[in-house]
Amino acid sequence: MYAVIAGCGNLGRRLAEELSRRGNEVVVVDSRQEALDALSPEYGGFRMDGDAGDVAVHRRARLDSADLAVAATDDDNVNLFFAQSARFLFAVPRAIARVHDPAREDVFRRLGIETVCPTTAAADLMLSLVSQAPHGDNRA
Amino acid sequence: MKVVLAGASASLRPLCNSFMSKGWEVVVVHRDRDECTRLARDSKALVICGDPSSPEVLDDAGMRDSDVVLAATQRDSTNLAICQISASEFGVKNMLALVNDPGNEQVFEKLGIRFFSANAAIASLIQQMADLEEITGIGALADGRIQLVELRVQEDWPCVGLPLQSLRMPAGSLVAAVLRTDEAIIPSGATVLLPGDRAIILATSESYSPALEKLSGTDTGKA
Repeated sequence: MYAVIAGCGNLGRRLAEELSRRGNEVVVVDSRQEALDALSPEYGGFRMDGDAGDVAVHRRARLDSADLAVAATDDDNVNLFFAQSARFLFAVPRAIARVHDPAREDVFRRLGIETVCPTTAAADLMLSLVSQAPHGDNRA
Repeated sequence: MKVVLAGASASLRPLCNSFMSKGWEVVVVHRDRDECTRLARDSKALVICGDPSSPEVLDDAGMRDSDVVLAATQRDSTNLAICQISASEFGVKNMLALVNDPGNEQVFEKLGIRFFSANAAIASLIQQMADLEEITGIGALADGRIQLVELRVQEDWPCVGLPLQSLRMPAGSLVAAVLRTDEAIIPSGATVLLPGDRAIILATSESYSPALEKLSGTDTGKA
């Protein structure tokens, strides 16, 4: 699989390293050189210096032949832009966007973009932990 | 008619006033507090300070009963988000986005969002003017913010025979040099343009059309 990841922060970097480790072809795009430098030495994919909100960069990353596009920058609008460019301009079969603002998650979904909102995901996980009996609870 | 101008910067302030003079209700959403203060001072529009791509902010701006949205921030991704959120969350029918980078136009096209491009507008204007034979040399400085034009002065132009100072060239424009047969003149206010002169004009992109209009007397800039 060929994956293009926009944003090389903690999330983008982790995804890139993991997808690459599993034998996929990966390109990470970020306009901050220091973010690209933070990729582990084992990372076997490509790094690209560029703005994820710029279609010329999408083209340079060969989004047209990607199987997966992940928008993981820290800017919701850039993530939406990148994901929609991937889906509708470059016909990438799957585009997933990180959304920071829970209020925008529904909007993005209605626009045909798969989303992950770290805030709602973490809250759901915590709630499910709360509803289970805690580990190591000796009071029972 | 209710119009929301999102991210409208100083250059759109006159637009805002012209809409208001038509009796339209105008709401401006801008994230910069200082710009909001200036807008609130200089116009009668309702000014909302906040991220114009936030659904909550747009709701506060009264997007629900808006007829038109203009998304004109400096970031194309933000402009796209503003248009799509306005349509999908608030049912706005008419949206117009500014596309700053011409390379990004395709995305807006593909998603069916009407857009205008500052570069395209200037390019077509220049093209149109370049079609006039009197305008022979065109260049741009400072990323297109300053235009450099060479005009062949025609005998029927209103500027002929008048000292430059009495022409009152628009602010932001300058007759920088005059080439007359073999002579290169750096003009003073007393310099008079003659038919056949080649006048070198330096102008900001805003003053470019008014300057040409002032010299040639034709309405070329109003396309």
